Amino acid sequence: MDAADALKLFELDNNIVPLSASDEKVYCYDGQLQSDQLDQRPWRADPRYYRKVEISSIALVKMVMHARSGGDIEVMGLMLGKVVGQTMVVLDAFALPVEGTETRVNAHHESYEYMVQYLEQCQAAGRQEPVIGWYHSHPGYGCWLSGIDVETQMLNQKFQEPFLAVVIDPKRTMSAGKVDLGAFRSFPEGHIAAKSQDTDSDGFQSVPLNKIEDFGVHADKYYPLDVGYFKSSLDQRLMERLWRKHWVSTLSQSPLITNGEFTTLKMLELAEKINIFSKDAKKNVSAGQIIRESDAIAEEVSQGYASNMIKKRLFGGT
Amino acid sequence: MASRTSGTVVVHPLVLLNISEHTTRTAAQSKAGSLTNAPLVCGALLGRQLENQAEVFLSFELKFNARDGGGPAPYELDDSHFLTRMDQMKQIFPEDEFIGWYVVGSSIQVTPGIAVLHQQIMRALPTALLLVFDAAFETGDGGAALPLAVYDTLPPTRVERVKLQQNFGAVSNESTAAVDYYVESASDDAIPLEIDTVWASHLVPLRISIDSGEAERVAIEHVAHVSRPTTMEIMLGEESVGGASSMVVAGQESEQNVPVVLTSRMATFLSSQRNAVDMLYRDITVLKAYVGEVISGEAPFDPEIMQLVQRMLCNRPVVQNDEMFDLAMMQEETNFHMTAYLANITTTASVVRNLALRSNAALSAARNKHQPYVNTNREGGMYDGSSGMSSMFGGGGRHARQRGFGHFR
Repeated sequence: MDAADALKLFELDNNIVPLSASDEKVYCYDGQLQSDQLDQRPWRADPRYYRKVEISSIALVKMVMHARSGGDIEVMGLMLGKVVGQTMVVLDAFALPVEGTETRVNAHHESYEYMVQYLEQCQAAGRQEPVIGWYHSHPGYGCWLSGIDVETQMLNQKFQEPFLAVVIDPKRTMSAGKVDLGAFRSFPEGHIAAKSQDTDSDGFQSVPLNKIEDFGVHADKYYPLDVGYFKSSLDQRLMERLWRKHWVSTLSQSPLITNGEFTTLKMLELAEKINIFSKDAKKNVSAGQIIRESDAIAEEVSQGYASNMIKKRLFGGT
Repeated sequence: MASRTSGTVVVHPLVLLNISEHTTRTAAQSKAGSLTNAPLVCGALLGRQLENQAEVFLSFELKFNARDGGGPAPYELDDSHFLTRMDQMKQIFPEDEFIGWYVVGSSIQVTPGIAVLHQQIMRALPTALLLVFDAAFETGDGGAALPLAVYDTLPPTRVERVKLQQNFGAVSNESTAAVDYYVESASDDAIPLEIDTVWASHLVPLRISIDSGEAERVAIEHVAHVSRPTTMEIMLGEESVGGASSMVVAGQESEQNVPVVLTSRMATFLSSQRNAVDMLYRDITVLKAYVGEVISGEAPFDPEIMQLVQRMLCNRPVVQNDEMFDLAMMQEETNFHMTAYLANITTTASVVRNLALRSNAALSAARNKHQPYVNTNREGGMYDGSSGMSSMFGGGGRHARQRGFGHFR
């Protein structure tokens, strides 16, 4: 066995990997380019400098799975990535071994240790991107920043710019069958948010009653970013092949069973909101919101029911 | 004829995505010339191994150091790096263990280079799985299978040396079933071996199946259908006219060059279901064609496949005349109808309320039209119609005042 031959048959031949020009730019970390962009600290001049986030496929899958694995408990983790002009690019994410509690302003010491060690390992293994933000989950109560979250994020943005906050709601994700994710950046202290088109007075999702105060008070201290998702050429090809085997999971899902409990909770919430609304205490609850929420619930239930009917017709006989 | 595979391995899509990302990143770095390590794409596989089924949940990258002096093993596994990472993984995922490793190449064959590294892995885990990923797979309908092969390492047995050298001769592109792979393992000197035999482990290909958890499934579907391929425009944040200030709200998709398209969630859900049923239909057509050919004598009779087909036919209908099942289905149906009904009632109530508000405003303003208009915005801000209506009648009130009826007020 010739050593040179063994080598040739083994090392990765670049030409076989489908790599588009933009893939190269995105997946290769250029430290110099990064520091050039960051040296000028553009976020100081314009608090809304970063407008978009692009999330890679594995970052998304890992974050969603981690959020879901927490069940009813909030979980958190960090994201690795870089910036490209006014866009923040998230390339990877990893979980932190932290128990979700109400007081999360300072991550515990063990998780700092873990984080530092993890980053060292990543660098050694060839991944050079630094931490670009943090993510955490809000199981069942929507994607927004609570008071504590806003404080944490403001602290982060003072010392670790550029930094991003991402919130995922695993329960709504499962319920709707679509990923429920929001990306935010906070304004520096004292900044008055101009009433612009992104602050929708109704809110683009309904927040449960027990959290609605928290939501309202802090809503003008941060702004949402547009979220886009991307995948590499190899990912795309792989997905096509994967679909060949993966369709079984799609067909075999049972939304009614998976989301039964959550749907019940949502209906109870809605009933309470209607009560409040009809008693004339109109703060934080609007007719438009109620209608949208009830339509959403009905739609999800009918999706689950449709799935049941499809399976029954296919496999259940007459 | 190669022996049929006995075991199966369940691979999660996250692992495949990890491998794909690792490959893309390494290739990109190597092209840009900023590769710090050797251009190998290998990593560890984590999961669980039960009896004859293994399940792979996660993966992470492994580091191989170039060993000086070349020789038969030019690369060496960095043990400390590997152990540290395993520890870290254990903290987050305590139930998953190290069960194998993956390597990316240009085919799904086990090349001599790979075998050499596998020997190193076998020191850590004698029954390690070997996943070979083919990064050069063709797109289009030509290849339907996933571009990977997973091999299980059997305990070592006596193997003729000839067989060992056989596989490392011509690595052709024939199916893996034709070649048996053997990896030499450390020999125990206490046991005497005949001439020309060595201790070697047979690498047996396993049957691969894909499974995903609920969250994984949703995320994978998202990646497959919603994620866009990287383009320079995306990365530079350039949006054309339509895309600028839209948020990705559930149920809405905005694409470049296209105005915001409102796809209802129901439509997306049903179309994904339809796609899945389509795949099922295609598979059934293939099976039907095969059975037809066997009957007409064109295709060889394969007992295993026939058995599976027959089992599938006997299993259908899955449930019939089961009281509890029927009851449960009816309950679900009732729930669904009630929910839809409730939603309708809520919408209707809201419409009626709006109507009541507007007609009240109209009637009261009409009654008081000779009086100067009083701002009737008592209802609060959320009902926008009332302010519009009131201001209309307010105009009428002012006119009335000008005609001198003001002293009534």
